Amino acid sequence: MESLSPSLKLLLCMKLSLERGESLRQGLQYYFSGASDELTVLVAQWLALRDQGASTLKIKKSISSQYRRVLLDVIDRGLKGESILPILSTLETEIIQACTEELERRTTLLPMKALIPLLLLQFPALAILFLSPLFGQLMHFI
Amino acid sequence: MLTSTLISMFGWMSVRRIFIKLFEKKIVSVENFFGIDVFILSLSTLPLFFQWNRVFCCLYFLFLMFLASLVPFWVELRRKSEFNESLVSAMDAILLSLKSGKSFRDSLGEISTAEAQYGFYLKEIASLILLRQTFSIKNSDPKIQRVYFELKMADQSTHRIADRIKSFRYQLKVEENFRQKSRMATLQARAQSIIVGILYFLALIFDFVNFSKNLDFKFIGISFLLFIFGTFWIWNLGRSHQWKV
Repeated sequence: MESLSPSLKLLLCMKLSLERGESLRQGLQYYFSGASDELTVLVAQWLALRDQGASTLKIKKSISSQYRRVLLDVIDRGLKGESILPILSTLETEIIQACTEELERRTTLLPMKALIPLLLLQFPALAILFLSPLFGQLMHFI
Repeated sequence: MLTSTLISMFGWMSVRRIFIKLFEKKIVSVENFFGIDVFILSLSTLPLFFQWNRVFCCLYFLFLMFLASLVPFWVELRRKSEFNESLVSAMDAILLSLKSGKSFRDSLGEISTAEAQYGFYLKEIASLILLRQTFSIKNSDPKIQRVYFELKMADQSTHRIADRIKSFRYQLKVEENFRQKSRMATLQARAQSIIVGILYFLALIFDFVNFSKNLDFKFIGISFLLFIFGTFWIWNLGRSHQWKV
C-alpha cells in the first residue's frame, strides 16, 4: 500500500511549492518528478489538454474520486491566477480526514481478509501435516 | 589436515577480500572493520578446530562468501530505515538551530558532524550540500533524492528558509503518520502468519523426528505448497490496497 493517497500527495506538493513562494507550475513539475501513481498520468494528460485549450471534461469524468476532481478544479483556478493557498489548506484537512477514515475501514476489514488464506490454505496445510503419518500408514496397508 | 588448512586459509582470504572491497566502498566503517576481521578469522579456524573434511570445508567457505556478499544489501536496508526514522528529527534540529539564530549552513554542519543520530544518508546529503557537490548517491530511492533537492533549494534560497523547512517537515510528518497507520494495519495479519509459520515448522520437525518411516513425501509437498501460498497471500494483503480518496 502506498503510504500516502495520490490526491494528498498532489495537494501537499502544491501547498509546499506555494508556501516556498514558487509558482503552481513549478509545484506541478516537482510533483511529476517525484510521484509515479495513476493520478500523475491523469494530471499530466489534464495539464497538456488544458495548455492546448482543449476540453478536459473527459479526463475529469474518468476520475472516480470526488477529492481528486475538486483538487484539479482548484489547481485550474490557481493556474488562472487565483490565490488558492487557503483553499488548499481547507481541502487538506478534508482529504486527511477522508484518508484516515479509509485507513480505519481497511484496518477493520484486514483481519477478516487475513482469515481467508488462513482457513483455506494454512489450516488444511497443518491438518495434512499432522495426518500425513496416518496417510502414510494407510497407503502402506493398501 | 594440510589440505583443510590450505582451504581454510584460502577461504579466510576470500571472505576477507570481500570485506576489504566493502570497506573501500565505505559500506563497512573503520570502527567495524577490526571486529569483522577478528570474527572472520575465528570463523575460518572452525574447520581446523572440528577437523571437517575437504568438501564440507569448501561448502562452509562458499556459504561464508555468500553471507559476506549479502552484507551490502543488509547495510543498505539499515541505512534507509535509519534515514526514514531520523528525517523528521533532523528537520526539527535544523529548525531549532535556525530559530536560535544560526545560519542554514551551520545547521547542516551540525547534522553532518553529529555522531550516529542521523544515519549515513542524512550526513552524506548534508556534507554534499555544504561542499556544494552534486548528488552522487547511486541508485538512491526517490525520497533520498527529494530530501537532497529540498535541502539544496533551501541552501540556495535567500529568504524564508525556516518557513520552507517547516513546510517540508510538515509534509514528512503527514507521510510518516500515514505510513505508521498503514504499517499497523498489516502488522497484525503478518504477526498471525509468523506464528502459524512457527507452528507449521515445529509440526514438520515433529513429524520428521517421530514418524520418518511412515511419512509420505507427496503429502508433505502438498502441505508445504499450500502453506507457502497462504503465507504469500497474507503478506500481499497489505500491498494490494489502492487508495480511493
